[in-house]
Amino acid sequence: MYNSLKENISELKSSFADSADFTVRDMTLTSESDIKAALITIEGMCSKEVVALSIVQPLLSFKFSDTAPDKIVDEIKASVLCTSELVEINSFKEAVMYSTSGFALLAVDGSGRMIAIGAQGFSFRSVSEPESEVVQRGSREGFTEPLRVNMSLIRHRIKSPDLVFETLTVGTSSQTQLMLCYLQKSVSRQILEEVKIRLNSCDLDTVLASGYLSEYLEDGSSKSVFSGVGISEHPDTVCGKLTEGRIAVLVDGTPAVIIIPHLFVEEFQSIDDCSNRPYYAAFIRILKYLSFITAVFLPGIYTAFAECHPEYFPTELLIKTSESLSNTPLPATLEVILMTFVYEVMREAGLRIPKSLGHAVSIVGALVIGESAVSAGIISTSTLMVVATAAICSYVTAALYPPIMILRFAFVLAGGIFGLWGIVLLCGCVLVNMCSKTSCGVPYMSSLAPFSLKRMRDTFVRADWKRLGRHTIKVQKFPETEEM
Amino acid sequence: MIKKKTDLGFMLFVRRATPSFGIFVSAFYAMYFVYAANYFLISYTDIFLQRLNPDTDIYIIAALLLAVCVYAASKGASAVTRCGIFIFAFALIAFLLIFCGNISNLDFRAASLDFDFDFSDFSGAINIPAIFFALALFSVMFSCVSDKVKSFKMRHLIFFVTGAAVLFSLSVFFLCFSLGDYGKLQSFQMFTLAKSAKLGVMNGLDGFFLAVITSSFFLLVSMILISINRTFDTRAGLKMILIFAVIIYVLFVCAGNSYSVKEILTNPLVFGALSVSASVIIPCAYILIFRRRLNA
Repeated sequence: MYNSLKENISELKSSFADSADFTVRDMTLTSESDIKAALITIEGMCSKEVVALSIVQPLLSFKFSDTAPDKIVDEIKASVLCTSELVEINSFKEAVMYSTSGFALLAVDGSGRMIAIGAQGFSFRSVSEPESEVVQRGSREGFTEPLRVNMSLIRHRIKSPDLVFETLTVGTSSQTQLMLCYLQKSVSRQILEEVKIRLNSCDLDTVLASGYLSEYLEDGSSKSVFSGVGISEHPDTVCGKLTEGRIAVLVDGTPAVIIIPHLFVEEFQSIDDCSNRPYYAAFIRILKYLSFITAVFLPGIYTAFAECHPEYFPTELLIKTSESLSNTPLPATLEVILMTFVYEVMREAGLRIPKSLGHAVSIVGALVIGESAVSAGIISTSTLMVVATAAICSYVTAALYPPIMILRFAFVLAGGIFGLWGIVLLCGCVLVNMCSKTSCGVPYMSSLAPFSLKRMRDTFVRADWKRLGRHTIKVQKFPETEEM
Repeated sequence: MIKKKTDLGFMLFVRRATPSFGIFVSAFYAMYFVYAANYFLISYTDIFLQRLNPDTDIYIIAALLLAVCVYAASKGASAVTRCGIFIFAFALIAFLLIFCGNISNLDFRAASLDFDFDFSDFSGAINIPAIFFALALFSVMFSCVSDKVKSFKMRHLIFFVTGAAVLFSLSVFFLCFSLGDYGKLQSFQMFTLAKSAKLGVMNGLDGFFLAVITSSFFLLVSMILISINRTFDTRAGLKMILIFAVIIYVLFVCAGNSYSVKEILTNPLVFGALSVSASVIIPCAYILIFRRRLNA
């Protein structure tokens, strides 16, 4: 940095290309020889109240005894300012980083040092219940966009000095801040180092959401429709995972926190299971597994039976199904694919459409698709029932919706062309793919394959807490975990 | 035993112990595995031709099955054996349903003590459970000799042998008292048993049986391809697997067009002799000849 105030301000202005939100508040510090100083802020990032009361007012009312600029800077840091966060910076790169993070920069004429003062006041969404993960009995707090708020939500729940946050920066343009969060006594150092290597290998220009990093964190050798990286917006879910030796990656600007390693069986676990009675938790878990199987296989099996193996239908069902299928112009396979596609279009429209128009879409969907198409003989009622059942079942495990959708299409095609044999073969392919997948070296299908009797206490059922609490199985201790 | 003493796979030990002769041993094992793959593949496609649909194009069936097995084999032994756990669980449920579905068909009126028991009457019942038992055993053995983990425990072996014995006993019991003499005349007895099962509104569970044998053969052929890969070099990967899959398919096509080739490839005596040589004679010979090195 330069010693001249003018040159420093000019350099910073040109870094921001004379942006309209770049604000400079000039002031003269009271001392024997009036020293010029300037407070640099980005409009909207700092709290005007904090700036006025905690920075400007103390500076203007203080009488500096020394006239040397560097001494003045030291005195300001030690005795003048009323904020809790002060960082001395020596480079323009740091100045840009801090000012864009909501810090106010204080520059004194004659000194090559600046002070970054914590005065964040940018607008952000308040802590609220996440819409993507609804719970009945757990906490209703969800992560928000600012990193520090999310860190506090986790720290509030794990009041242990073991909890560590490590800062990383990704995105050459966006300079997005990340926090690696883990319990130092539980985490595997190997996995932690591997995660850092993978995050540092991210060479993207901008990182605006945690999803950008998911592909960098997955194991390169295991390509799959299933994700080896977990996402959660619930602080209590993340805290639970941390105690099992996992690592959470908090990304500034997004409420979705990444959790790794991530396993298949975790998609069927929720924080409600911990609050409910064990028998009910077990019932819900088994229901989720059955719903997943129904969502993936039902349309394919229906197509296989309708096209290739009608003899497998019970007699009465065969009569009704044949009757309804015979009245429609399309083969069963095409009907199922078409209906599934129309449903996906409606679902996507429902996500994007303004709430005021949502009712209209529901009516269109119910009447046009449900009633009129069947009455007109374009699709059969049995196909509609199958597609609707599979669609509802797919929302029981909402996190698995993307792979369920892809696999559903694949199984419909396999069943329609090759019948039950095709479904079995494709199922074998998918199973092998899932069994070969790893997440930071931990087999993705852990607890099921390789089978672990101990882990069965928290897979299909949730054993009572007295049993579960005896010892927590760390994720790096799962059978057949590879060394990174 | 060799893995425990030397921490080397059997083929790697052979190549190190007898560098020049090891090539012939590798070639023998490759030939044996190719023969075994065709032996099972031809049996599997025969089920389609004789019981399911005579118009089935078995070349497409075999090609697709081999393609999927190549994919599975390229993922490695760990993935296939883990997949085997699911297939094993599914097969248990399927067999349970088939047996439960035949309870209503049980007829003990013709039951009598028979001291002239002929095993060949129930060869069809033995076949499928034997294949299934072999698969389960292979899963255990592969996890035992895998490079990454030594998780073999004796109780695994005991469990699977016991399971296979129970399965065979139940199969014979239901064949005797559910199908009776009709069952003894069938070539694919377990298929007939599945077809005669009734569960509620469902008449016939041959779909489950088809799923079980398809997944069992998929597992078996995948393991054979992995074994061929290991016979030469564990690093060879997809290339070696693809080459041998093509060889297996070519032989299969030849068997489909030439009855004499099919006879050779499905001869149980030849298969038995090769199996005994591969699994007993050659390993025992190496253990005996190199016992000093192993004990060192």
